[in-house]
Amino acid sequence: MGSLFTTMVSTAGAMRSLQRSLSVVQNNIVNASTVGYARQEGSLIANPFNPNSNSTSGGVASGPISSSRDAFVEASVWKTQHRAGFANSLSTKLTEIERTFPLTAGSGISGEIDKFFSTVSQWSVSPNNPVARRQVLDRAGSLAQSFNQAALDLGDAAGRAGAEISASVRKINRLTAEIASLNRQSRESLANSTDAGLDSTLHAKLEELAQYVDFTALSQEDGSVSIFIGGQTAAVIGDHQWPISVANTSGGYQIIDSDGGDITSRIDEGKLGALLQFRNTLLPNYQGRLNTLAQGFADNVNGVLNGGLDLNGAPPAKNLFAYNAGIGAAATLAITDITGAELAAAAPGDPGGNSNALDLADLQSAGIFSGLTSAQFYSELTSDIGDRLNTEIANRGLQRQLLLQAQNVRAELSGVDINVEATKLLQLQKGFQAAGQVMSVINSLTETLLGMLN
Amino acid sequence: MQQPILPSLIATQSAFAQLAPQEALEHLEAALRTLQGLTASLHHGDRLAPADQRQLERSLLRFRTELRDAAILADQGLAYCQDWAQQLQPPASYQPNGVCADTTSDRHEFSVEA
Repeated sequence: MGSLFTTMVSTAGAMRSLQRSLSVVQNNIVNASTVGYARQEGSLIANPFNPNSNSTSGGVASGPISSSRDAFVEASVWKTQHRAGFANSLSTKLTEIERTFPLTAGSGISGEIDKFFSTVSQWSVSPNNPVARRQVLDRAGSLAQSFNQAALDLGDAAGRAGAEISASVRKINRLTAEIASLNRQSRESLANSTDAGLDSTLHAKLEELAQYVDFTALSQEDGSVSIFIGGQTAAVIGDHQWPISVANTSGGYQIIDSDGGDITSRIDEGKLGALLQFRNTLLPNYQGRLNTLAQGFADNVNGVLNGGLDLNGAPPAKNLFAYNAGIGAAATLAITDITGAELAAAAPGDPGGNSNALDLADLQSAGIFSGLTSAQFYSELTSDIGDRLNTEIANRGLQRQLLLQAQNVRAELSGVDINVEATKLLQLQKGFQAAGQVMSVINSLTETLLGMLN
Repeated sequence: MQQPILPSLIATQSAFAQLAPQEALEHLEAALRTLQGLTASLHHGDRLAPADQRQLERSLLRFRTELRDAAILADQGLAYCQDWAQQLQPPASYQPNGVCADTTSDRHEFSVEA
């Protein structure tokens, strides 16, 4: 039978174990709303108990504290974060430029093209009217300005996207530096490697990083996490960080790893992936098509006018439109210093006539862009932007739902449920109260028995 | 009368320590039945040999010590429940008049009588 000393030591040990269990659950409750926190589970281990031994035996000891974090579920949340970050960022950028290409009749470049041809038609009715000639020049100037404005808007969007790419890279580097620092703390001691607070801070950083770039995270035995951007480029291993950088080249923005290698193609998700696709692929495509429209329109108008005779019966010496293809036709499109009298309304052999003006008006319905009219070519460009925007908005909604679902699954597995904790509390209260009553009766009975024996 | 065997309350203490008061209660009820049986037997005039009586007295003293320790653990458990209840309690809530006030509810408060 154990001695009184044995009982006291056993009881003291049990109280320490109890205190530790209480600390674990209290920590769960106060961290119920902490981002990245996973419910911790304390464990208790019964000590070997030999009632015939005089040595200290029996009682209970604290076992290891385990985390309810599920690596697969965490990876699932990160993956959804990558995709949600991509759809959210790309839809925002496309919304910015969609305003440049309005689909409303009579507005934007499409409206200016219609107005130009309408003015040309009026001019063909009275080809020698100086007011009508002046109006053609004015409309041509307005059309050139609308191309200039659209090109300027796209250029501004490119500039903003570039700045956001640089800001995203700085943010990614700051987060990976913080993760490397947390890894260092985790490696410092065994206690740190299992510390719930450190673990939740680390996972909050990983979740923030997941919004910016897709990565693979590998958990190590020492509690640290290695990060590989795009699944290949090491960004963090242990307490060492390899920062990435950004380079603005003629081919677009490039993401460079610490060895100087171009890793742009590996980044196709997250906010950074969306910005790179917008800045390097989508915007150049839209800018190129806008330039094609401006250049093709100007060349065809100039070509028709140069084939006729001006008010004086002479071939025109000047083009109506001028542009610099090297800089960009849309951005540089302008009317020359041509005068109204120098506009060629008449066809050769018919001075004073309107045949050339009618030919110019016919350009409105001519398939000068691989069979498409100017309006159709422009419409195709705007509908491509609109379609892509609608796709990304729908994708953004879907990814938000998927992210919510993944986060809910994680909360089910790793979160702290206050209702469950409250139910546990009520059960414990009733149990302790009932036990207290029984112990009170037992205590009285024991005293009675001792009295009877004496 | 044969020498009665008093139960150990070590398992009860262990159950309290593991936050399992229901399990502790089962052990206590078993101990209670043993004590009630012993009391009834002594009331009926059963007698023990002097050596067995001293042995029973020592066992009762040991039992009383274990019971006291179990009560300490139960106190700890109840104190924990109160702390737990405070953690679950919102720090403030809206009153029917729309005023936000500190929560003073005592719905989780209880007393220890062991």
